[in-house]
Amino acid sequence: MTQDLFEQLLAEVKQGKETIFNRFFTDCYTSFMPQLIGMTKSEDAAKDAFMDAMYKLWKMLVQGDMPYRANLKGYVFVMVKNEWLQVKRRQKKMPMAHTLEDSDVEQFFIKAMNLDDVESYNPLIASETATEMEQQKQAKIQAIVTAFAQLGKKCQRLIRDTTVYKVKLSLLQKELGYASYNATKVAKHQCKMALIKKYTALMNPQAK
Amino acid sequence: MKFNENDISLIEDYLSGDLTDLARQQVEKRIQRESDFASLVALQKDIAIVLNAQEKSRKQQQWRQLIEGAKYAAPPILKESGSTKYIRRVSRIQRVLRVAAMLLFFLIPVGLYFYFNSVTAHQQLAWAYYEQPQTLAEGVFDITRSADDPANTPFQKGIKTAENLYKAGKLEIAIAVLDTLTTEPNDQTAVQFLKGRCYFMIKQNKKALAAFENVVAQSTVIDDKARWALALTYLQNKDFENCKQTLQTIIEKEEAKSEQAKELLEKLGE
Repeated sequence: MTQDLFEQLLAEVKQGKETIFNRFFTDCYTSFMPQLIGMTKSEDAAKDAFMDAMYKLWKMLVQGDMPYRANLKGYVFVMVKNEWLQVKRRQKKMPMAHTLEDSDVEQFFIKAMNLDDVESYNPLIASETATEMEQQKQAKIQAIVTAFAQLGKKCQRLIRDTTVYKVKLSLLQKELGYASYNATKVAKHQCKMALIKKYTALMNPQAK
Repeated sequence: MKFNENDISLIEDYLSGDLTDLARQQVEKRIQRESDFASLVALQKDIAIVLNAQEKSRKQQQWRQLIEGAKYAAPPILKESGSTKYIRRVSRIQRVLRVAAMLLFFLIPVGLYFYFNSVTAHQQLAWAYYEQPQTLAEGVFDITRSADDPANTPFQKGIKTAENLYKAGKLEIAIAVLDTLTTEPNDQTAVQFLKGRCYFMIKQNKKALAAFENVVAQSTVIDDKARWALALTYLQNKDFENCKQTLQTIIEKEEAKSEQAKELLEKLGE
């Protein structure tokens, strides 16, 4: 990828557009898949590893701390290979019982995705065979998702971009139209408070 | 869960690793002491995990559609690869084809070598009647040289050397020596005859035929020897018609090889 194109890609991602990224994504997918399938011995595993790596790349691009690499495709291929190695390592490792693990949450979204409506997804009905602990975890996830969905768009953007993408508040200040850095900080704090309150209300309805 | 509003920022800084060592230690002490504070820390962690997974799932859903599109635009191997089994089968076929190509690469030259160097039945027949260099009783040097011709002229010396090389089986060198004699103003029949014999031995039939025909056309003392050699060269060259005609001429002229010519004609089905 040329430096010009890379800069265009960064600029596009900043504006929330994905045309160049999608083209790069498709190009990588068609080039890597035969090798990845050979490596993972499964088309689904290859796809998952590929998408996990692309998600990491996407986050790096959104954060804006991705330096220019002439061989971006080669770099991504190494990322995909590392993702696959991590998956293999994770398969060997036993899951922790009491805390939420990334894999638990991802499983929740995979199941919920089939319903196209995460908020109405009822883990108690969906997994009658699930253990009490699993049900608690799923209820927790669902409460966070529902509480987040109840927030305003600006609040959602503030929390998501700072938590998921680690975007600096100074950048969000301009984009979201806050008067100052402090105003952005206060707004973020209030949004987080609202989220926690909504979550608490959902988890303990009788406390209201 | 009860919480102090200021704690939210403190926990955020703690989770992002922005606290000083002292502040971090204080937060860790509070986590151990205050259960509500510990729950708030756990919740903030969970929020980060859930939001990250939600965003990831949203992006991946979007990319799955891209992948579906890419499948149709991809080269045949991807387009048809509904299962990994198919791709593995394709790569197995490719591997087999590659091995086959390598085998052909080595086998074709070997086959061609054997095809061009194998001795066929008619060649065996020609060689059975051909006077081998080692058993050559009468040298062309002695036959072509007249009694009053001195043996030590450069030309005669050349003929003698070539003949010795021919008898020793050094055919290429013999031809090279004979080539140096073609500019001499002397009788060229001996040179042509010896050259013809050398070319016959190395199976350069066209050159051998040209040399022997040249000698036969000049009607010299080695005319009969050249005609016999010409007949055998035709045979080696699979030119059976000319071979038979030449053998007939040998018989009609009652030359020294007429008996062998009759025998050979019989063998050729006449």
